[in-house]
Amino acid sequence: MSATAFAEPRASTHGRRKLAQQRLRAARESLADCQLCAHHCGVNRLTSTRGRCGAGSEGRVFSAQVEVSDELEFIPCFAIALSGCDLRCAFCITGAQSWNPKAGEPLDAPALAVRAQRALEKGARSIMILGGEPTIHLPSVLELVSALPADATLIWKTNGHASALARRFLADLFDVWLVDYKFGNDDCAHRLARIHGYTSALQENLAWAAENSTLVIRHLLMPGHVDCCWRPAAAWIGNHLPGVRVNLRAGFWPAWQARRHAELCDPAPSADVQRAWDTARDAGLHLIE
Amino acid sequence: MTPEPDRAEQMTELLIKQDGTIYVHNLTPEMALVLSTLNPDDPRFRARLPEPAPTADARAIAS
Repeated sequence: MSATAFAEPRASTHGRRKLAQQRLRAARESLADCQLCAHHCGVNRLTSTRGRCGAGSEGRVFSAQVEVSDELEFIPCFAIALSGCDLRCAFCITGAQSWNPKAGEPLDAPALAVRAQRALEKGARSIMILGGEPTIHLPSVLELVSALPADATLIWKTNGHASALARRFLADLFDVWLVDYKFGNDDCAHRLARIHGYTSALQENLAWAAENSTLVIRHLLMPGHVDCCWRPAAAWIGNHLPGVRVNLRAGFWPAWQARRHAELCDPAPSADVQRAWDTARDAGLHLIE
Repeated sequence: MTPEPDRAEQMTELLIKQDGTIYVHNLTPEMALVLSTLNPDDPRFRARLPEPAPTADARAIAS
């Protein structure tokens, strides 16, 4: 399935749910030559063949609940987390589920939509789809979006490693793109998340999201990575995306396999946190909580 | 079938350091209420409280 075979109606004439439904078939067919993320594995996920993410053709959910740990403007948020990911971040806070696309239960879009509606009626302000990395499960995501309440604020939380094809499937569906800017250089990305070419793919996604949605950037400050990761990231954001809201998260804890790396065995020291705030100020970033 | 939240599938993870610092992941409204009751002076938990404000029952849970 090539990208040129995907014909797209103009977004202005269709609602979100209808758009998602219309794209569903093409998204499923695209799994026969999977190019959904910047790895471009090209495997046929409709068979037993697996790419870097290890995911098959059906998405699974390992968590669906109302949470208040996200950005203040989004909470309470009904967060739907899909298992499986195309990155291998050693410090992943949900590593057991994120690295295992078989974790959790099969995605049941109608049931999740009912629960989301119930959450909204009880005061939730938004619905968030996250992972793992939900991009790898685009067909399941489209099925879900086609069922979710049409007027809810819908947030796409992503590692920013999507391909251009995936972005076409996702265009005009989400009110907010919440993108993790994890690493400020490709060396740290390769050492800590086993990924090549991280920076170019990430920045391409950020630029696209800023043009096509409301972009909010998150950075999880990692101990010992202020200068190599946060400083370049902050500089790039300040230069290329001035005014974009940024959430600098200082609550790193050594989860999953973080302790394989010497500098990631403890939370970020207060000196690192202070330098990170100073760096953000110097870059002129619009910080939010 | 995705688990229902009232069947104890909701989860918050806490990491409590020796100095009393609490790191929280997947903070649910209920846990935010408990943590805010434990430390009413922490503005970060208070900012994430669901409406209404903590009741006597919440204090009883936290005590």
